[in-house]
Amino acid sequence: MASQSTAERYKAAFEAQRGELAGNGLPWLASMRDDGIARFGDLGFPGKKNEDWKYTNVSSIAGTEFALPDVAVAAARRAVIAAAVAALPVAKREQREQSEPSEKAAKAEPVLVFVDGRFAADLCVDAAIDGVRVESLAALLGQGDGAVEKAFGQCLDVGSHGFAALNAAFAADGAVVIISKGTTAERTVHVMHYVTAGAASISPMAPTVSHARNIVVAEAGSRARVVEHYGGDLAATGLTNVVTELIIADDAHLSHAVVQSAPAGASHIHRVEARLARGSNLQSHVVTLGAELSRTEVRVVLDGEGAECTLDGLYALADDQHADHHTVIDHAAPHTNSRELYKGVIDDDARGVFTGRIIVRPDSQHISADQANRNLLLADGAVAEARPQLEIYADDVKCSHGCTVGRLNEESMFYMRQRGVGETEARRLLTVAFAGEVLEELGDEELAQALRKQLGRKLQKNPAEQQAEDAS
Amino acid sequence: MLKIRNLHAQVDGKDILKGITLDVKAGEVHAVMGPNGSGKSTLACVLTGREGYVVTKGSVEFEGQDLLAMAPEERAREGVFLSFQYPVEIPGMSTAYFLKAAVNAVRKHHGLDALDAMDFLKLAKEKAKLVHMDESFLNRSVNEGFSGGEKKRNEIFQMTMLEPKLAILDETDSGLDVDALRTVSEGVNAMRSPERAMIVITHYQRLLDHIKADMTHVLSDGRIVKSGGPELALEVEAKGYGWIAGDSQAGHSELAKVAKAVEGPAS
Ligand SMILES: Nc1ncnc2c1ncn2[C@@H]1O[C@H](COP(=O)(O)OP(=O)(O)OP(=O)(O)O)[C@@H](O)[C@H]1O
Ligand SMILES: [Mg+2]
Repeated sequence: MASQSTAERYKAAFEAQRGELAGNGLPWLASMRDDGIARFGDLGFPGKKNEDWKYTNVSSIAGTEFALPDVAVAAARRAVIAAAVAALPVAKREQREQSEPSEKAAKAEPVLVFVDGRFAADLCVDAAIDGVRVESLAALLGQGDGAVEKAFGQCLDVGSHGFAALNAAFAADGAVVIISKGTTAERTVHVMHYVTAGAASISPMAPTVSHARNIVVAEAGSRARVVEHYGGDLAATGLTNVVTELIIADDAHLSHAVVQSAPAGASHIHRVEARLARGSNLQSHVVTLGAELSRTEVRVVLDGEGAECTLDGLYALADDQHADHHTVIDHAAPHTNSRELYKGVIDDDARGVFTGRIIVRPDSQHISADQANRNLLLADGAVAEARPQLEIYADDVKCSHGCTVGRLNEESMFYMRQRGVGETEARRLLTVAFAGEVLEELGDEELAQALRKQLGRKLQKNPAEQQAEDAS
Repeated sequence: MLKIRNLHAQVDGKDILKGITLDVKAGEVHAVMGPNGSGKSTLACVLTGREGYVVTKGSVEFEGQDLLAMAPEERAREGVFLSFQYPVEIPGMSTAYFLKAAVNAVRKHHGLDALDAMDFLKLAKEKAKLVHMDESFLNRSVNEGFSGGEKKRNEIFQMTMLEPKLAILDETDSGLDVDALRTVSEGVNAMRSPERAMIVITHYQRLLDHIKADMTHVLSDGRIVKSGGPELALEVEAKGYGWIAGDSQAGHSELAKVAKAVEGPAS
């Protein structure tokens, strides 16, 4: 039960806003939103007694009265945000191809941009891909689009916790990507969510909240790659509460990545829910670098025979960062396979939490599930919590799991130093090498390279030195 | 180039080196032999500054500098190279990336510009050929999944890239087949020059057939118990170490005298 004041506060905010939320006139959406706010009234924010949230304290979020983002801020910050969009690894690819203008239009990758949860059409990189619809949720809701009606809320378990319920109540914008039947999208679709620190000239700089909903529908036999990027103004302190639904039809292959480089003082709660039909495949990637407090959930239901998923994750944490990664793989059909590798690099007083739940239903035979969580602690104050949770109710199951928490290998350190590499640099290179395994799995060398550099910078105690190296 | 004086060292509180005195001049190659556990690798670790090896007595001068006061990376940058008895595997880091970082760290120390990716690759391919190492190794993780022989070859490849002043080769011949032994030796011989010195730790004459040493030393229980010319290695090969033991007392007192003379205020 949420404390009266919290539940009432959100309920009042909902009543005040609902008339302005996109898709307000749609009865099916109105009932989902009503359900969402009602569930939040029951659930409130997850507390200490909730076993799933045991290691993550969200009282700072519960206690904050967030303001609504001011749309005028996005316009005022336009130049800065445009620069951030241009700095994405995708934008570089486009620049390089400007030398061949005829090919540019064909090769460029689209970037859908959202500022404080709202679609920012003028900041997007437009690039059509045959057979792929890339649009804003708000626009499609406004049009009463049938495909969205079908997909919206199909995966989300609204009752799982208060954040999911709030998203159900408030979500009105986000990215919608629909890959039509049989289409192989040769270029990646990028989604950028940018959170601002507000603008003093426009409104008081209060922390803001946004509840975006992204939806990816991979129709039968299609193949595509979607990357979600999260970033923002350095001074931003608000809450981003996102839900991503991945609906993967028969024999479709989807590669999905969440690259979270949110501002150091921001909170980021993200729930990725995927439902996989027969013979389909999901490659899920989560890279967590930013935010003071983050929780990233990936819940996959292998719902049809022969469905497979791989879940890869990397979290690199420093200072007082707290990142909680919570994954659930539900083998709901026979002959389904999963593989999971989450790696953590934890420095200073940061804390990384990993929970990996694997469920094998009684009728799900011929299952293979492989899970590993490896943590590298770089400082005495760094903490890693790892929880494998296996719920196996069938007998023909090949399941392995392992968790490790360790330090940098002393022999490797000496080997590098004996070759002339300084101690700090050796530490940094070995840490990036440790993380490299997960980045290689991204299957996108340009993105991997950009993340290696970002990680290197994060680990670098002397940023000037790193900049010199980046340039060389 | 290298002056070791009465060097004593401990590992985990246990005395391993018990008074080593050795002079290596530029251009010389010194073979170091000795039974298992006699302290050969320990000497290499102490000279390169490995953590956990505590010098309790004595001194080491390298090119006029106090080697023991320097961090491992400084020693490497000044030109001390160790070919590891057991080269380390580093998953996730390509050999090229690893070596580029090393080469550029050394170049920076000497005031040279960093090599860019192109120049580095050109040089690396050239040197790889020298030790008959397949270029594809450059893209593989450092030593990961390499055979014992490939690891040793990689060590010598790195040596040719880094061009050290003093190379310490710790059992570089072990794990090598006959052909690999020849190519590795050729790589080592190509590095010989009047400015460069080498300490070659080995159990076998077969390496010294290829790499001609100027001096041979036999280490036993943390001391050099016998020194001589190249013929000493042949004798060890033929007779083992047992015969030296009887001689060691004499060897000891000789060395003890030298050690006393040089001990000075450092101890
Ligand atoms: N960490 C340690 N703690 C205690 N003793 C150690 C440690 N490391 C090495 N030693 C001991 O030091 C001695 C010398 O070892 P070292 O490796 O230098 O011998 P070596 O001459 O290189 O032998 P080999 O020919 O087998 O390579 C051995 O008795 C070994 O057991
Ligand atoms: Mg040894």
